[in-house]
Amino acid sequence: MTNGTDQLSDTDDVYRVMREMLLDAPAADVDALARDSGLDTRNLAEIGRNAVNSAIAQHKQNCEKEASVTVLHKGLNSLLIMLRRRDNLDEAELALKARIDESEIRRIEFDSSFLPSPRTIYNLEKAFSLPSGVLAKLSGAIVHHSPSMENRVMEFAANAKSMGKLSREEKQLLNAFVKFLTEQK
Amino acid sequence: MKTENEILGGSSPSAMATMPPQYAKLDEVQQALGALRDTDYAKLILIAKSWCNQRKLARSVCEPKELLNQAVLKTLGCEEGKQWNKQVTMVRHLDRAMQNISGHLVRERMKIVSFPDGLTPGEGGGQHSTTDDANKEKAVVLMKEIFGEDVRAMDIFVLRGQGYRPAEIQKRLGIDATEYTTTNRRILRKISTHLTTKEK
Repeated sequence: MTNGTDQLSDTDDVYRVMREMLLDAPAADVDALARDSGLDTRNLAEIGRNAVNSAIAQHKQNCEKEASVTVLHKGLNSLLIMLRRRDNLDEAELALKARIDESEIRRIEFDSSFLPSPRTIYNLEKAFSLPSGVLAKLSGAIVHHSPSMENRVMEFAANAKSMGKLSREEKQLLNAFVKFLTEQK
Repeated sequence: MKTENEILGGSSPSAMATMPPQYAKLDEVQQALGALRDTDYAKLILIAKSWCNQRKLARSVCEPKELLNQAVLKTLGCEEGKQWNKQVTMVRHLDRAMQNISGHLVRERMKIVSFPDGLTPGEGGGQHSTTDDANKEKAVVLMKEIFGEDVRAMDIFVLRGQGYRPAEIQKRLGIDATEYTTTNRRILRKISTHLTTKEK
């Protein structure tokens, strides 16, 4: 058997066998590469380790960001419900006033993973006569926020109720929260 | 310190074929990634280079370290990403993840290539009408680049590609276990040297 090269059908086949041999190689043989062929295996390992570690760090960051957006969305859910109660509007009435779909309002109020469109946010701000950008800060459209914002949003969401007319305390809570959001850069 | 295989209980491919997949949870993925050793990292980068070379991915499109990075990210994504079946080693799993990602990059590249006269890929003749002979010839050229005149290494490499086991290869080539092991190490050196010197 001297001309075995005829029997690999294409370069993909050659690369496949290369990888199989690398995967099967004992650790000692990989270690020996530096000694036997002058290959900088330490550098290769370093590059590989950095790639893996950077992915782990990236994943952690993504998870934190996701959790943070969920908190903001909960704040948006609660705020929308409180504003509707303040103005004595049901979902259908708000949909008409803001010229958006009623189902979208329901999703904002009950689905914390739902990301409303910029148009919806803009129309809702107009419908409630809110300063521009107040709701956008909770929609996830604006990514950067102060570290204290999440705590404040969670506090507001925890105290917000979804039924009946707003009490004086709730009005104060709502106004303070809107003021807080307005002041956030 | 235990090796990845010892921790994960590596299984032979034939045994795995009959077992249902056991997908890992995020903490298990993290534990397996933490158990990788320097030799695993070196293997992974060499494997990433092989995918970049095979798919002809220019460095501007994807570097080997980025390909590995994406494979790990996909694996950490668990259910939304590429689930790790614990019956295969993490290194082998990441190889498969890199295969998927690099394949996706090639498909993306195909989409942006314009074909004259409304032709679709494969209809255009020219560079897309390579015959089996031409493909074999390219394989021969690549093997020569890697192994030069080392016929013994080439023979073992081809037989490995055809699925023969070490004992069967030794019998077919009439060599003993020592010569087989020595040649195998030589093949590993030649593959690694080829992959580290032939950067796209």
